[in-house]
Amino acid sequence: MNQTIVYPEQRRLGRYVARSLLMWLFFLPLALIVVVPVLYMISMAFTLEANQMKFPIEWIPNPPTLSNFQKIFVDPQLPIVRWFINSLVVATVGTAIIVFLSSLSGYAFARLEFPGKGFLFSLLIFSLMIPSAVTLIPAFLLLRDLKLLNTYHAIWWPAAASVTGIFLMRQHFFSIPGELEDAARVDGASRFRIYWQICLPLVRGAMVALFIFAFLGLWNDLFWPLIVLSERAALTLPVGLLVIQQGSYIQRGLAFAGAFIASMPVLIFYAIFQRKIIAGIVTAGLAGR
Amino acid sequence: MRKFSFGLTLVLVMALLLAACGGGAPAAAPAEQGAGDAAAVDASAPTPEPTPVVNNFGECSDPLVLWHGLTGSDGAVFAELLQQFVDANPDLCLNSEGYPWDIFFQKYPTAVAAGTPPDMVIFHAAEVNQMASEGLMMPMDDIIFNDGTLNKSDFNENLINAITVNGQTMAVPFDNHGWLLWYNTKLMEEAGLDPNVLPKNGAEFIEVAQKLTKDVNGRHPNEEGFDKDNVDVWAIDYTWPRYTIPTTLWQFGGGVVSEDGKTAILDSPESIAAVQYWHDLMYKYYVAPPAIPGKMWAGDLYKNNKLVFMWEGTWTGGFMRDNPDIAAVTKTAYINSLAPDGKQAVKFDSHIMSIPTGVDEDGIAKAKRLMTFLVENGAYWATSGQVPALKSVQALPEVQAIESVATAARQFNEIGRTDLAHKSFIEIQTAWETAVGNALASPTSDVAAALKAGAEQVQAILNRP
Amino acid sequence: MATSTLSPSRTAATQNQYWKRLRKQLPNYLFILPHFFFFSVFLLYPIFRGLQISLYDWKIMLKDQAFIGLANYQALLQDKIFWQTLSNTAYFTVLTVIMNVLLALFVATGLKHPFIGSNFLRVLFYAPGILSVSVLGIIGIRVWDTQIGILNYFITTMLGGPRIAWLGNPDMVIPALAVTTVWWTFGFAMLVFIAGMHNIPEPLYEAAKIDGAGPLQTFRHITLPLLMPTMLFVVVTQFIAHMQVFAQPYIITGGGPGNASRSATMYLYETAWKFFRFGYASSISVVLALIMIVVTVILFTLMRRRTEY
Repeated sequence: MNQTIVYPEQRRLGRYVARSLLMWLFFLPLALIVVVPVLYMISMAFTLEANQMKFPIEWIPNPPTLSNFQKIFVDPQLPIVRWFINSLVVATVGTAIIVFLSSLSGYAFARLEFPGKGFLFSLLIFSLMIPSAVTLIPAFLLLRDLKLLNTYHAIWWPAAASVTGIFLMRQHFFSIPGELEDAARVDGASRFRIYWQICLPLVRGAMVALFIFAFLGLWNDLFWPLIVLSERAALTLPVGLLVIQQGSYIQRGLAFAGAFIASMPVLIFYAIFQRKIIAGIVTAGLAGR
Repeated sequence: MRKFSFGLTLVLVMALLLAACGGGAPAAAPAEQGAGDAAAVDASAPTPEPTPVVNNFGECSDPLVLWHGLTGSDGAVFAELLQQFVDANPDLCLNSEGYPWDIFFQKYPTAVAAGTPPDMVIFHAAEVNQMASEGLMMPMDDIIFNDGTLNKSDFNENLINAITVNGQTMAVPFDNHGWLLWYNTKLMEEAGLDPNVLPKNGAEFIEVAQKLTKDVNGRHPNEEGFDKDNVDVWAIDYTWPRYTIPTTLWQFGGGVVSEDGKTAILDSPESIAAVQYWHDLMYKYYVAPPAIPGKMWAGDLYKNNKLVFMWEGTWTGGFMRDNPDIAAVTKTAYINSLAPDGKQAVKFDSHIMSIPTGVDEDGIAKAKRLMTFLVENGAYWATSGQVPALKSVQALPEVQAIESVATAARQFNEIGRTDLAHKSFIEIQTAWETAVGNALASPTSDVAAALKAGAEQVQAILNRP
Repeated sequence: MATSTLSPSRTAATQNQYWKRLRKQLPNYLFILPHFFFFSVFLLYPIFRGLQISLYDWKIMLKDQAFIGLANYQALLQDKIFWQTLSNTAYFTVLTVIMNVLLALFVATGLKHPFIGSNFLRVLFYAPGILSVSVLGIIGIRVWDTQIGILNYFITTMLGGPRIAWLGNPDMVIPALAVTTVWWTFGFAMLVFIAGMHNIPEPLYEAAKIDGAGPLQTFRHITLPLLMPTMLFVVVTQFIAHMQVFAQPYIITGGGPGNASRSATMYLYETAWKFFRFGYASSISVVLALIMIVVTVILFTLMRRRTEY
């Protein structure tokens, strides 16, 4: 139609495309480095045990097989579905506890006054510098004395002590205008109701962010579950994978099938909710700043 | 807003539910939870304690709880034995849990210390002294030997010494297992060697090994143009230092610790010569694959006709059953000597059965019955490739009929040695394994220096009060 | 006690007022109480208990532990393995943090302005971070494998080079683990940097453009200094996280060859749960904590000073 208007737009579009091509030229190698190991894992999960050690690598399984998965699902010593559910339980409940307690404390430190507030808060900040290594053995012995080893309580309650979530929640509670609370107070609402019904809904973005962040942390943790859990069927997925990997050095396909089962649901979930998850990671990840 | 509140309420309810049952049940109460598989599936279930997958045998209210690390193909044969036991003893039932060894050794002391031990455990003779020193085991003399239920002299004498601490025998051996030579007769014949004539000392072995090893072009290591990065067939593999190294050290007259347990001799001239010999096999003669982490497992090489002499465990019997093609061209023999003088020695160990500290009378009585059954039915266990513990059982025709077991049984009784018993055994083992790992890590690694560092470290452990 | 801070000279009125305020504020403690309970039990108490255990020859079965004073610490000073694992860990951490920050900075700069597929790349680059460390280990073993590894596959088939024993070489094993970790974690730093860059006011860039500054100059004089607070945060958090590295060497190399890739946390784990030397392990953890606190403080002050431009 009107040439004089279309022309610059086309040029801008052309520049956009050219820039995109240039960027892809830059990032394609990196993208491949990120993708290839994962593709390899998928490929090996469907590769016959006999072909596992083939070199040069057969990228496309020939023939493709489900035998690794069959072996895992049949073996009562490798209850991978159970491990998956265990991880889900451990991570969901643990995250719920963290989010709830963090929001309570974060609210108090942001919006309420009480003697010793400054001291208590600096105690929390100080604890950030203490590496988990130092509490490892005492916490283990304590849980043993409480007879909580080999139960998920041994994961949940130490997780409940974590402080990073408090900083995140506190920051976001700060941003709520005080008039809202005052109005509720005039209406005679209790402190807890103000927190629960007025303030909490206003920081739900932060709560979602914390939920994602804490969930991923618990879901992927290997070290602590390795120490406090040992019943085979009670293990979480990361520890269970370790059992497959350590215990089946003759059956390499099993480890990859296990890794596949462990990773695919999370990766698919991530692909679907990527926008929310990335936003959450950034929000929560920056909380300590 | 409504949606949000719902989610929040769910979270809160969950947290409250959990707080309500915050006490939690003790870990080792698997019997009560046996059928509760579904319970832990539900995230909000009132009892979130994990339910173990256990192998239950027989039915009764008060099972004998057994922990062990027999999980691989051993595990399948072991499970059959346990089934036979409850069939023969209908008044008893069993609850058998297998763990990878690492996890086993972390869980066992914890359970004993927490006062919830299993009734019986199975682990290795080598670790007995340490576990006994930590106060985790009951002496077995008054329980099973002194009343004549089992005859101590029917077991391997070296082995009984290794599991005797302060004059008290702490465990009952279930089997003897250890290194055995498995070799591929077909590859030997292809190289123009007689499979019935095996090299008798270190010098002879290198000669034979150079004939056996070849690269993808068919060249041997002592020939021009040998491609050491693309080797097709290896003469020998180092397999697992835990067995290979003590075996070689003893053949050379060296060792890790002196007989009296007071001096580290990992850096003695004999010990250095022994490890240097392996270093030469890998980096000078190119007849063994370099011992680097993540290297291909010997069994994978062997299975594909890429390895001639495999030093591997008696348990390889199960592997051979799974790979009949390769088993058809396989023979077994005593571990060949690599020493200059051809001195023979081999390391063996044992799965031992013991009763943890704190088990009650009833548990002891049950464990005693199972132990007796397992020892006396060692012939069945031999089908897994392991050597039965009792010499009288070893002599049975059905045991002698299994070639590898018969060879291994004779070998262990004639030239078998066990690791030195020590209260810090696991730490000593880690120290020397690390030192040997350093010594063999690369073509340029300094064997003597690495072993010296290891010996210092072992000595420091020995010097501890 | 809150009452002890009250001086008797205060008038009854102020005292009364104080009490009234305190009574009103008292329920506020209920909000922090749940967290503070677990915080005390699982964080504060263990810190002091750990210090105490480190003074004993602590045996798991004993009722009365043998007090040995500072003997554990004396032994630790002479423990060559401990110092080696410590230097391994420091080397690993420095390598990982530097590579992570540089790579993330590079990628973030490229992805800051959208182009076709830029969001896809952002999602893709963070994806490895979603994987469990056990999966990372299972994959990592095969990436670096000498015989059948992915890397050696490309080296031998595409470049015609020799097979390299990545994990068998004491000089190469820690860089290999660091690269594995960067593969796993650079996406996080990238996301944070992109967020940080979007917070830099656009007029600054426009002004720079008018002044005729090239992209490199803009990066050096605007992006980098204004990104410093974010950088500080990333460096410190990554530092704390990677100093505690356990799973990568535990799964991929088992600490080998020799002790070349054994990390301090791995040594701590083995001392306690493999050798049953809980007292000694506690002294390791105390020294480890001290070192980390000192380094964190140094990092903070260094970076803070740099930030004030």
